[in-house]
This record gives sequence, structure tokens and C-alpha cells, in this order.
Amino acid sequence: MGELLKYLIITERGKQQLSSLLLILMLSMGLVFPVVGVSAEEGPAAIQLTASEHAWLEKHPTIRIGIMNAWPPMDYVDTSGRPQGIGVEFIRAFNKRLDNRLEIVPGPWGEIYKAVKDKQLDALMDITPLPSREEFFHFTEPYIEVPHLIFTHQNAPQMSSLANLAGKTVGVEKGFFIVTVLHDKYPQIKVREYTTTSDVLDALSKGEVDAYVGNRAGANYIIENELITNLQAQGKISETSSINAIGVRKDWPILRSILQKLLNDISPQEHLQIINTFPRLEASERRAFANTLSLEERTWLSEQTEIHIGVMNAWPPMSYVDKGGIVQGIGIDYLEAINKRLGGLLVPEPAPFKQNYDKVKNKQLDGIMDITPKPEREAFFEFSKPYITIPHVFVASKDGPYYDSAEDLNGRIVALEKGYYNVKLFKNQFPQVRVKEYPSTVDALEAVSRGEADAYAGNRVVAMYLIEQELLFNLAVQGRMKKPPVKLNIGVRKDWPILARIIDRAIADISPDEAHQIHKRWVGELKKVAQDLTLKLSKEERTWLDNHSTVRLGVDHEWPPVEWIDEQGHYQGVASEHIELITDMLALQVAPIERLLWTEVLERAKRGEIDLLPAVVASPERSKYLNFTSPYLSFPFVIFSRDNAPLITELRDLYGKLVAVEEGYVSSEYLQRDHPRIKLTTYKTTHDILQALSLGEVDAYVGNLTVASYLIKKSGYTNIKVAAPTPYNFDLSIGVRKDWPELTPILEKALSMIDEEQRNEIRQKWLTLHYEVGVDYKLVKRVAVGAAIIIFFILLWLFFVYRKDRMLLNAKAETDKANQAYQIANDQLLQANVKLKEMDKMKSMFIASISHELRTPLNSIIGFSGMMLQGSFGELNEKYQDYTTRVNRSGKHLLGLITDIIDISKIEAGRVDVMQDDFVLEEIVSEAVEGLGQQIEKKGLYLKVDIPQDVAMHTDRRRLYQCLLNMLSNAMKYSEKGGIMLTAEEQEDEVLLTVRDTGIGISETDQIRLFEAFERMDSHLKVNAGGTGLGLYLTKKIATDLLQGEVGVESTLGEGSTFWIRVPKRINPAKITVSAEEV
Amino acid sequence: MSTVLVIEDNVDNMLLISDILEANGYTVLQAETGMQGVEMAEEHLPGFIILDIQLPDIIGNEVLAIIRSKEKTRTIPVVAMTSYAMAGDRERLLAAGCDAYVEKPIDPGSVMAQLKEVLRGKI
Repeated sequence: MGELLKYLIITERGKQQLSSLLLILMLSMGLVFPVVGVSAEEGPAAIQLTASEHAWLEKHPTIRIGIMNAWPPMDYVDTSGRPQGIGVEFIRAFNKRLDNRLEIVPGPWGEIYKAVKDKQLDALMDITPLPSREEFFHFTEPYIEVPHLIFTHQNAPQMSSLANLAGKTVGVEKGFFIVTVLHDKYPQIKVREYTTTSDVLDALSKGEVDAYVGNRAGANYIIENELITNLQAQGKISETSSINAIGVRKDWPILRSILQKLLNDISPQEHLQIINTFPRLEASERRAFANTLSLEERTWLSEQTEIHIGVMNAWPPMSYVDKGGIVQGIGIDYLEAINKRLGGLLVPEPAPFKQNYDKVKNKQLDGIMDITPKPEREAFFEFSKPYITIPHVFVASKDGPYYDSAEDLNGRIVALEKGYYNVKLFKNQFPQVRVKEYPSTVDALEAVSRGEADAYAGNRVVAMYLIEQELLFNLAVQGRMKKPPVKLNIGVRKDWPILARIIDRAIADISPDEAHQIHKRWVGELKKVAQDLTLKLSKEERTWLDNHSTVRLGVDHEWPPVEWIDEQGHYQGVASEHIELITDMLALQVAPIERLLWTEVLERAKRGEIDLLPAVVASPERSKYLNFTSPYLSFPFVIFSRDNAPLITELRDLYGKLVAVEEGYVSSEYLQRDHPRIKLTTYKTTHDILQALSLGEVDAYVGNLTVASYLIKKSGYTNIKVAAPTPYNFDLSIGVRKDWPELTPILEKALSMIDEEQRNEIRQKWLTLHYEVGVDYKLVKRVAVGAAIIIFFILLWLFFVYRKDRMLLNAKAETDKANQAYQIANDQLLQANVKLKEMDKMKSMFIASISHELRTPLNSIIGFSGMMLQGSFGELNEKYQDYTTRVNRSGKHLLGLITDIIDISKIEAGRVDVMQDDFVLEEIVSEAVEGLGQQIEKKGLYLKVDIPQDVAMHTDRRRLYQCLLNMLSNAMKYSEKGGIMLTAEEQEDEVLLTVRDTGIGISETDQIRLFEAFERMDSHLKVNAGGTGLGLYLTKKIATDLLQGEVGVESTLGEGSTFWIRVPKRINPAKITVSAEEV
Repeated sequence: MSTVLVIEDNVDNMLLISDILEANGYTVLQAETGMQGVEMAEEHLPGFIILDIQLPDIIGNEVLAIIRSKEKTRTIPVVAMTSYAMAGDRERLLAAGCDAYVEKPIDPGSVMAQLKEVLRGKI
């Protein structure tokens, strides 16, 4: 009771409970005790601790929990020494519930892990539960799970799964679980371990490893915070993810149980809030900056009108003047952040460093950005604390050695910027390294690129920016200097120490999140480094081009608007314009182009008689004899059909149909691989295909949307339409003969010179036609507006048609046997039959295509009534609750009906694919029993299962399961007492599944109609069993039409029924009807 | 991350899914066309995206392709929510780069659990 009172009065939750308690008290005078009882259950119930847990907590006023000290944003210690992170937030949330009993102990992973193992610490966050760790820890459920991604250099080829990394070197954090995974499952991957995530990413950035595999959140955080601009996230791996739980010392299982209860008490919203608001947290805790200043400082500031700060005018991306004359840069963003706090007094004055430096010395300027404090400078400057720290690196030839330290450069030449501190550093500390000085960073880097110097040493961010900007592609970061990272400070005039102190306060006030935002913005900026400079080629590349001044092009002579040869023999099209730009840039001559078929082009390329294919889709087959640039043009593949063709929505709808593709095109390669059931036929040109399609010689054409649309419009094929999209694209690259590997990177550079604007211009010039892409759903919609109204007509029509069809078939069989006198009648019947069959097909198609439209209103009916029942926006009264329940239930019933009808119509139309799965019969039986077991039990029935073990099946698993579930749920619905027996028997190549119930039974007359549609026995039997009346009909359809088996029933009225299904254990693939043909 | 972008052209469906998400503490951004959705995804970088497959301008698969092709948005989880339930749809959408697939009609009682299940570890 004491606990309860304390809870009610102290906690926020308790206060809410208390007010509702008072309200109830007022309303129900006198009923105090029961009310308190109820509330006591509801209130602290969320963290309902047992008596022994309470007692345990009494005895342990402090519980110490370890967190990692350097794993942002999971857990880390921030610059001011405070623990931060998602794990820490969880502990804070627990502490609100546990009177701040939990003490946070940050430390390196190995240390806190060992401390809990040795019971010196009580628990730790950030741990992944593993069987091998269970010896030392009790684990709670995970509190966060973050996927693991593959990170690579941004120019690396696609590596979307671990399998792609075979033969590559992968960097990971020491001791992380991924090490074991890679070691055990991917022995072909070379693994390098690093102490921290930051170290691995650094290694990846400078090319020491090919990839990093690890936690997405952590890696992204570091990439943004440390401004590593040349990395990209690739695929997500399925093998591991970061699952963080709490590990508790092995001798305290009770603490695990308490912590688990606390975790359970954190609502999904609170949980999300913790994950989401991080790391924005600090911003909200920030106090108003002005309040942190002393009176003297505030007074001083109020006396100033402007404070002039010198900034560098040409040191991108830290600080520079852009083309528009605006001062930009990371440093400038920081200056702005400081300025915000100082009320906008700071004015940046861009100029060369030396000039600004002297001006501050002479007090003509008040301060200078980006200065490193040095004893000799102290005579003239007061230094602020650093606003940013950036490591110094070595930049050298991509193919050259790594430099682990400056000593590795002994006897070599290092290029440095004149007047920079590094010059002094090298001269004093590494006298064996020869120093060459250059006027700017760009000059120094270019010297390395030319081979004049072996390496450049300097600021990583600046160097990486310039490598991209100046396209110095033969350079890379090849090592990190062993000196402490560069600290960039603000220096102010010696007579104004007060300003340095104010700036210090402002820098300290910039939250990690704010800094993070600045970095994030610049990582984005750095990635889209401008490309509007002139093409930069290396010496070797120039030499190579000089020796290969003429190229022979392989062109598809009739593939407008991508490329073609016009009547005058001129090369035309989108590709031709790109090639023209490129050959101009590279001063290449183009040999006269022959008029060739595409297959001939490929043949000649194989023989090395053609050097360049301006527009070709890269494929594995072709990469045997060609190298490819990255794609520069992309066109979607779509399905074309005749206007009057049946509805096609995807490639599967083409199964069994005759589909045309161009000979040698990659489309046939794709279709053969992914859709072998499509009958392919090839033609020489797109033009031939369109003609064939228009004349009805083929059913469809899969090809380039742009090209075909162009031709359709040009040649006036009015009966051809775009029927549906496909997942494929024509991604066109330039193909280069295999024995010219030098040319591909040159072309790549040239392509990167063509900017977006130019590309668009070219595209627009050739591709100005407008196309309707995809199915015209608007039309379908319009048709279906009336669908809701006529659903009943459809249902009736559907089954009348079906029955008439049946009757006619029977009649036809009889007339066949009769003599010639009946011939005329027979013919008429045949005709009628054909017509009916056609109607039947139309019906099936209609139903399939409006299924979407029927489900859309149901989404509203089921959805909104569901929301009302949930009471998300206020309670319903009892009556409305009842009505809404009925609306919801009817909606769901209608949905079941539609689903069944669609299923049936699809089976009848042959649009269902029969899957061939390998499984053991037991699996689906136990799944079905699991699914229905509870309901059966609830009804007070027994369920006996007797099936042989290890019956290997090779058939459509889902469909057989559907039948079994149907039979079981029927048995349950119609049985009020007794129970259900499910048996299976192997009969040679077949399996017989039997479901016997003790229900109401079925009379012999009813048994005949049982498997027909809409035959539900409730009308006679006064059992409202629910269901659609289509279940058995569907079961029979599936069993016979799809699974090549049969179904049946034996029953005596009043004594229960036995339903059975017999299917072959191995489905016969030859007998699977490719019935799409019939549609 | 508590921001969700819903790309859906049917006003009823939009209201329904928005209300469900908002009742569960999310902030909902609404786009009625595919291109609008692509723009908003890039501008707001939502925690995840709910995508209807049949849209007035470009189809969902194309929206997905664009989202996946852009550096900024490529890792945002996308849940396809569609009543276009033909055989193989699910596989096709997942192959196209969807992280998950939820079939309409949705049940408010279970849709959040379903979303959490399919996006486990991603949000």
C-alpha cells in the first residue's frame, strides 16, 4: 500500500491514475475499496514485481550497468564526458521507474564484458544474445535491432551480399559476432580486424580493405561525423544484424527478470521516441546561450557593433569563396553557428591566410579562422578551443605503397603547402624526408599526380575534396599521419582575450547534433562535387589516346531513336550525340560506319573487328568479349500487345504465348532465364516485330518502350498498345573491346563530363514523343465504378454460366452418339458451346481484373469499422459497438467470398501456377493443426492426428495446405460434440488424407451436391456455421485441377462425415496444364 | 524516424492509414501521386514509406525504382500496400526492392503489428 501511494503521488503515470481514481470515487460514492482494488491492478501492473523482486530491490539500492564508451549512436561518451546513446536512453527510462537506482558505467567493450562476467558489474547494454555467452550472462529480450550493411568505396562495383565478397578483404570490428560468421560461412573472404568502427571505415576509405560489414546506424553516424565522403552503403546482409539486449551477471537471474519487466513497460511509442529523438536529445536540453555568459562578457558584447573575422578565400571545402562570390565551407557553417549565439556580430572577411594573419597581428582584423595554436603565435593571438579536428593523411599514387608513418617517406619527396605548419614539422622531425613547397594544396596534389613528389601530407577533408574536384583519379588517401589530428581554432587579437572566452562558450554550446547537421550537409555537398571542369587525363591515358586515334564503331543500323544509320549513311540518335561529344573531348576519329544488323555487330565485336559499341546493354554473356562503362542511358522494357488482346498485367500473363524479341537482344537472354514458359520467337529488327504483332503473327512483344513507341508512331501501327511494364530496363553502356582495358576508364571520365543538362537536352531532342505507360487503370476504374452495384449479378451470372456450360457439355456428348439426324442441332450446340466458353473466359478475366476494385471499398469498410472498434479516437457505446462489429464482420465475410471467387475463377481460367515444392507431409499437417487447434479446443472438441512420418511430397505445398485447412475447419464448424480424426495413409504413389468428424452428417442426396458452389448445408441443418459456401467447391477444384488428385465424402446423417482427399506424392510436371493458353 | 510517407491516391485509404499511423504516434506525410511521393521522400527522408502500387501517374514499381536509385533515399524501408493481389505479386514487389508487402484490405487491429513485424529492425 505504501508503494502504491508513493507511486500515485510521485510518478507522472501515477498522477494520471490518481485523477481518474478520484473521478471514479466521486461517481461511485462508497465503493472505495473495489475501486482502489481495480486501480491498483491497472496502475503499477505494468511493472508488476513479485514480492521477492521487491525484496531484492530493497537490498540493492544501486545497480551498476556497463555501456560501450565508443559506439555511437548506440552508446558512447560525448566530448564533455557524459554517457550518451540509445542504450543510455533506455537506462534513463528505467531509472524513472526505479528511483534512479541504475548507475551507468561506460567502458571499452572488452572491459565491461569481462567485468560482468566476473560479477564486478551487474549488467551491460549493447550485447547480442548468443548461446556461447549464456554461460556468463542472462539476457533480456533485445531492445533494438539494426541491420548490417555492406559498405564499400563509392566507385566499387555492386556488392549486394556477402557472397559477392569472395576473395575480397573485409574489415570488421575486433571481437564482433560478424567475425565468426565470416570465418565459418565465408572462408574465401579475408578478414581484417580493427579496434573501432572508426578505424575500419578509415581503412576502407583509404583502400586498405575492400568492404566493411557492420551496423548501419553506427557506420552512418561515423561517416557523417568524420566527413568520410568516398564510401557508400551497398546491400543489407541477412546473416547478422545488431541485436542489442541487456546482459545480466549469471548469478542474478532475478535482475534479468526485473529489467525485462521494465523493458516490457516501455510502450512502443516510448520505444520509438528513444530511438528517434536520439541524437537530437541534447538540443532540447540546451539552455539559452546568453545565460551562460558572465555580466562582463554580456556587457562587452553589447558594446560591439561588428567583429571582423578573417577566413580563407580558397581552401575548399573548409572555407572558400564560391563562383557566386559567396563565402562557403564547413568552417563558415561553424562560424555561422557561433554567430547565431553572438547575435550576428561576426563578419567574415575572405582573404589568403597570410594576409589575414598579418592583419590580426596588426589589429586591423579582430580574429582569424582555421588557425592552429603554436607557442610562437601566442604573442599575437588569443586562441579559442578547437571547433573541429581533422586527421592528417598521406595522399599518394593509387597503385603505390601505403605510408604508415612519416618515416616511411624517408628518402622520398613530400609535397606541402608553402607556409603551412607541416613544412616545419617535416623539416624538424623528419629531416630525411625531402620537402617541396607549393603555393596551394591543389598545386601540391597535382605535383604528386604528375609524379614530381611521392606524397602529399595534409588535411584529409580538403585533400579528398580536391581529388574529386580536380579529378585526380590516380591519387588516393594512402595512410594516416601519426601526429595528433589538426585542430582548427579561432585566433583573436591579443588585446581581446574576452572574445576568445566568449567564442569558447559558443563552441561548447554547439551540440553534437548541430555539428552533426553541418557535417551531414557537407558530406552531401562533397559527394556531388562539381564536374563542370575540363577533362583531366593522366599522362599514360594521353599517350594511349595518341596511339589509338581512330575507333571503329559497331552500330545497330535500325534502332531509332537510340541509334541508326540514316539514308545518307550518317550515324544518328541519342547514342550518336553522346559519342560525338565524347570523341570531340578525346580528339578521337571515327572510322566510317558500316550498315550492319545487330547480330553482325556482335559477331564482329567478338572477332575484335569493332572497337566501340556506343549503345549496348551489359550482360554476362557479352562481358566475355567486351568491357563496359557504367550505363549512361536507360529505357524501360515493356510488353506490347494488340489493342484487342486480353488483359496483360505482367510477364507471367504471357506464359504459353508467342512473344517476339529482337535477335541477339538482351531481352531474350532475360526472358529465357526468368520466364522459360514464354514461347520466344526472334526477328531481325524491331520493325519486323511490330509488323508481325500488328498482323497477329505473335501475341506480344517485349522490348524497349522508347524505340518501339517511336516506330509505332512513325509507322502508324494503330492497333498496338503498351500493355504492361516489366521489371527490366535497357541500361545502355558503351562497350569496349576486351583487349583495350585502358579505354574504359577514359570513356568513363569523358561520360562524367557530360552533365545532366546536356543529357536532358539530347534526350529531349530525340525523345519528344509522349507515351502512356502501363495499363490504363483509369479506364479499368471507370468500368468498375458500377462493380459494387453489380457484384450480385456477377456472382449469379458466374455460376449460371458455369452450370449451363456443364449441361451443354453433357448434351453434346449425347448428341455425338446420336445419328446424323441430330447433326444440325449438334452443330448449333457446338457453336453455342464455343460462345459460352468464350464468355466463360471473359468472365474469369473480368473477375480477375476487378478484384482490385472490389477490395478498395472493402478496405474502407473493414478499416474504418476496425478503427472504431479499437476506440483509437474515443469509445463507442454498447449498441454502436455491436453494429460496428457486425459491419466489420460482414466486410470480412465479403472479403473471404471475393478471395474464394477470385481463386476459383483463376483456377478455371488456368491462371494459377502450380508450384512444385519439396516438403514433408507432417509439416503442413502440424501447421494446420496449429492454426485451428485453439478453436477446436475452445469448442470442446478433441482432435486426433495419426499420420505416417517422413512422407516426402513434391507438389504445391500452399494449395494442399489450403485443402487440408478447409476440410478441418468444415469438420470443426459442423461438429458440436465429440471430435475430429485426421489420418494420412500412403497408397503407393499417392497420399490419402482423411478428416473424420462426429458432426451432423450429410444425407446421400445432399452428398451429390456437396462439392458444388454455394451449397451450404445450413438451410436444412439449422446450423449457422458461417463460411462462404465455396470452400468445398474450391477444395475440389484445387485437388482435381491443380494437384492431379480427387476428393470425396462418406457420411451418414446424424453420425458424422468423413472427407478425404487423395493426391499424388509427386506431382506430374508433364500434366500441369499450361492453361494460360486457354485464356 | 517517426515520420512516415504514405503514397496513396485513394482518399479513403489515405485517411485510414494516416489515422492508424497517427494513433500510433507517427507523423504522416501524404503524397497523392508517385512523383509527388518521390519528391517528398527526398525532401523529408521519412523513416519509412508506405506505397500504393496503383497510382495515377507512374506505377508503384517505378516509384520504388526511383527511390532505390537515389543516393539519399535508397535505404529508406518501403512497404508496398496493395490490393493488387495476383499470384506472384508479392515476389515481384519484393524483387523490385520493396522491404515488405502488406495486402489490402488492412485490418487496423493487426496492421501495426504487421508493419512492425515486416519492418523489424528497420524502424
